[in-house]
Amino acid sequence: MNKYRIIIGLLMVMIVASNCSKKLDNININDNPYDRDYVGPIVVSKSTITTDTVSYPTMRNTISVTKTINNHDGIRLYRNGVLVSTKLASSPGFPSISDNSAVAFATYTYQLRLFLGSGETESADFSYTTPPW
Amino acid sequence: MPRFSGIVFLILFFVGIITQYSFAQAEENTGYVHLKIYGVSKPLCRVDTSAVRVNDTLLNLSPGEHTVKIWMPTMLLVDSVITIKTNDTVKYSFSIKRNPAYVKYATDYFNYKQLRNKRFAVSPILIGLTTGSAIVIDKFVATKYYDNAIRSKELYSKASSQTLIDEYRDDFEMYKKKYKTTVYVEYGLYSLAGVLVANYVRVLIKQRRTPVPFYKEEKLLSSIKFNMYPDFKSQSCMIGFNMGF
Repeated sequence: MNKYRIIIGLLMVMIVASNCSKKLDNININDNPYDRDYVGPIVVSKSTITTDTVSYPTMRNTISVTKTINNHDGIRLYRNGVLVSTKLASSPGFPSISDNSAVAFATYTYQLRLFLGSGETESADFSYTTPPW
Repeated sequence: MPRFSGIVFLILFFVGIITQYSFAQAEENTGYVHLKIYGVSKPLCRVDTSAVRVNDTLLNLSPGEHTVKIWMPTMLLVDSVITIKTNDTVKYSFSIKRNPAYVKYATDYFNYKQLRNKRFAVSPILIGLTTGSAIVIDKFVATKYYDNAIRSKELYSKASSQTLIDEYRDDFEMYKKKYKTTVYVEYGLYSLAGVLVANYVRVLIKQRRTPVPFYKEEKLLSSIKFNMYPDFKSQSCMIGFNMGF
């Protein structure tokens, strides 16, 4: 038997086999937003921010949230990197969350985080200057 | 009338005497031979110009030398001279042996059949084994790894703790690697089966071109019509003959 024919035959087999084994290659294993290696689109973002007075100059900034996933336990609000509020998904008014200790005229950097168990997925940071009314 | 009957009586008397004298002469000109032939049960046998189909039998021959030829298809010719004694029985035994050319033919034909059976049987068995192994690997190994990988992916998608996320991702990658390796093995076996099929076709062509051993019998006794041929269906060698002298 010509050994070159055998080699060519085996190469063709490898090509066919590599194509057939691509079934799992097309599966993305980094699409869990709670994965720190997650590379997909952001799943939580702020929609609108409204402000009302608690007891001047203490203001309440209420952030309405837009989310694209439904597997979460709730949402957390971070202000300048510090957790200021947590709201469970079963709470009334969800998915909006409030900062109840904002000060008028102060500018804050907020971040929203959906959480599920011990995992969190973050929104992009956004800045907001609290108006006096 | 009595004179006439006397003459008749004398004539009959002398006829009787003459007849008995001839018979005595004939008895003096005969002998017997006991022929025993080893190797076959009823060989073709010719004594001088007469055919005899005997073995282990007493023959009545005239005294003197006689030519004996003994033969059977596929056997060597026995060509000998026997001497018959008057009023005596002599014993002769002959051993008829297989023709070496026929022995070689039988060996060649046996080897031919062995090779033919080997060519016809070995490749299909190997093709079946390789193809069957590939199918088993696909059904029971590759499919299992693929299903495990998919399950790991589903668990990964639902996990929330980073520990579980990492664990399920590692499981997925492991099963994916095993699945790929198994697929390569499976298709390697299919490829080997293809090579064996191509080789089997080549062997069949080669077998078709292989000449069948042939034995041509040399007719050693006259008027014998003989033909011999291997019968593949019954896997035997057919011999037919008739003899006339």
